Amino acid sequence: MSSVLQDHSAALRRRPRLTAWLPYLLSLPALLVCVGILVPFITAAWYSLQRYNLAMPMTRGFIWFGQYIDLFTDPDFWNTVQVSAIYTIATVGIELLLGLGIALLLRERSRFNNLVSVALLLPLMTAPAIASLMWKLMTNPNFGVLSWLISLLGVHDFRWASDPRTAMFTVVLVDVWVYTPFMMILLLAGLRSLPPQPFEAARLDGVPARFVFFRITLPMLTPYLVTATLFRLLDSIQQFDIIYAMTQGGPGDSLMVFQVRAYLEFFQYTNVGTSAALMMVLWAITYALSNVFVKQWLKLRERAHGTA
Amino acid sequence: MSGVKTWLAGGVAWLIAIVNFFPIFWMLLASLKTEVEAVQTPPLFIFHPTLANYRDIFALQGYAGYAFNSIAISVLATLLMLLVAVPAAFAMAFYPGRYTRDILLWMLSTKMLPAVGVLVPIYLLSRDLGLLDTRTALVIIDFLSNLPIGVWMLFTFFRETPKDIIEASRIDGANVGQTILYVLLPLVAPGIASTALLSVILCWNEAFWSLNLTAHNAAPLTAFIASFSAPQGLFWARLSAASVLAIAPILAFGWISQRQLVRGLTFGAVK
Repeated sequence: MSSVLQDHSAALRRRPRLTAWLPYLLSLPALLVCVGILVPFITAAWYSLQRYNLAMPMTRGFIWFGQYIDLFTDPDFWNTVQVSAIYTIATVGIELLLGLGIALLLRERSRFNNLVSVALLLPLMTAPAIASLMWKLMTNPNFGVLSWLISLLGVHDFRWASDPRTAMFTVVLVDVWVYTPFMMILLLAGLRSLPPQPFEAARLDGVPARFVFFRITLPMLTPYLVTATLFRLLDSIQQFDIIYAMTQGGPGDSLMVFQVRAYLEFFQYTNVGTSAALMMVLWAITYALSNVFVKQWLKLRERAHGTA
Repeated sequence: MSGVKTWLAGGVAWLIAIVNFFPIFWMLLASLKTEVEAVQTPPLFIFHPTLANYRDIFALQGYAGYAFNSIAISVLATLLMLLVAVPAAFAMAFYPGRYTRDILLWMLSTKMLPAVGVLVPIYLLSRDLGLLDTRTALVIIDFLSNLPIGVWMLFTFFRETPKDIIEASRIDGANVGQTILYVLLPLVAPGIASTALLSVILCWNEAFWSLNLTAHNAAPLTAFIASFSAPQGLFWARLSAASVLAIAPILAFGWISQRQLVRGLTFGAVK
């Protein structure tokens, strides 16, 4: 009896040896590559502590946090913070509301609704650089079809992205066109996966629609709302393609978000140090934001599924 | 009452779909106009369509080369990504360890590093290695930037595959190779397809790295079009034709594989 048990445990011990090693062996390449991704990042962190301008190699030197102190006392930097914040809040906010609205509209499974929701995927598959071209074509102040449309409504001389007062609005509009579908599909999937019982019970009891929405639909949808917002938030604060293609950060400083500014700092002024320092600040903000959200998200997922 | 409501909802849905499709449609129209018609005010809705712009684009020196670059880079980067991501995701899903979740979250977090931030080191590095304006550089970059998402997506698919199935097939006498080929592969194939699709779309649409690391030799279609648009909007009709040609394959590709696409575009968050 005891020898049988021993044999059995020996066999158990032998097998885990292979299964213990194999997973690590299989994941190793991916892990190494991800560590490799960190190398340029650490290099950039190193650059951010140096005075380093490609045009003036002689002045290169280690200056600790001098770069950051310069940044924090520079009004242009605070403009960048402000512009980035406005852009991120406006795009994510509008996309969340619109995405939720459209998802609620297409909630019932029908052929028509499915067709519409697939058609809504088209902007998401379009390269953001090309999507920006489409909008430049439509919003050209001279011959754009949108300029013509609003002139029919009596608004003349609306200069879209070339006027500092309306540039933000225009670029946000493009972002909303491209990324609202992302919110929509996520939330639509969330809505369709909700259990029907609470809604049936509410209908039988004659609960008003508004009460159902705020007290049943929204709370149950929260994990999806958090996930969708997180994805869009991290992406939007780092937006480059659309803004650069539409206005290159202008006119003036009106769309100088973090990435565009760091990009110009490098390619126009060959200022490696400042560019790197800007990116470190952006990374710190992104990291802090995502930490808050990921914690919420894991908590919600655990509550929903038992395990994450 | 309810009938009116449904009818209204349908109308609004139609309106949203039309507004949503209009920019693509308008660019398609512009690509079929002459240069003069494309910038006419008031905008032309009815005109004699011409394919002259497409003919011009195809005749353009190097167009085939850009298209080839787009295809080669997307396919190679995707294959490379799958080669590394599939074993890793498989191991994490089927043999989860104590740190699996932490490792996975950490991998995903590398996705948060701002692209411009690593542009400088990568630009200087590829300059020193002589990789500027080569397809190799873009394949490596696309592979690197899609790997974390690839591992994550494959993991979410593999996790749903019943684990007992491997044990069961082993008991039935299948060896490791047979288990993988006949049991596991058919089950996870849709997941791999979905991940590959997302990767191809992301590589195809990638413009930032292409613009900064390539010139004439290795530039894919996105970089070509972006450079095309640099001079004042003089050639809108031709530019539109080039853009339509650049997005058409991916839109067609996506339309065919809708189911996989939804999962891919939401990074595995939607089933």
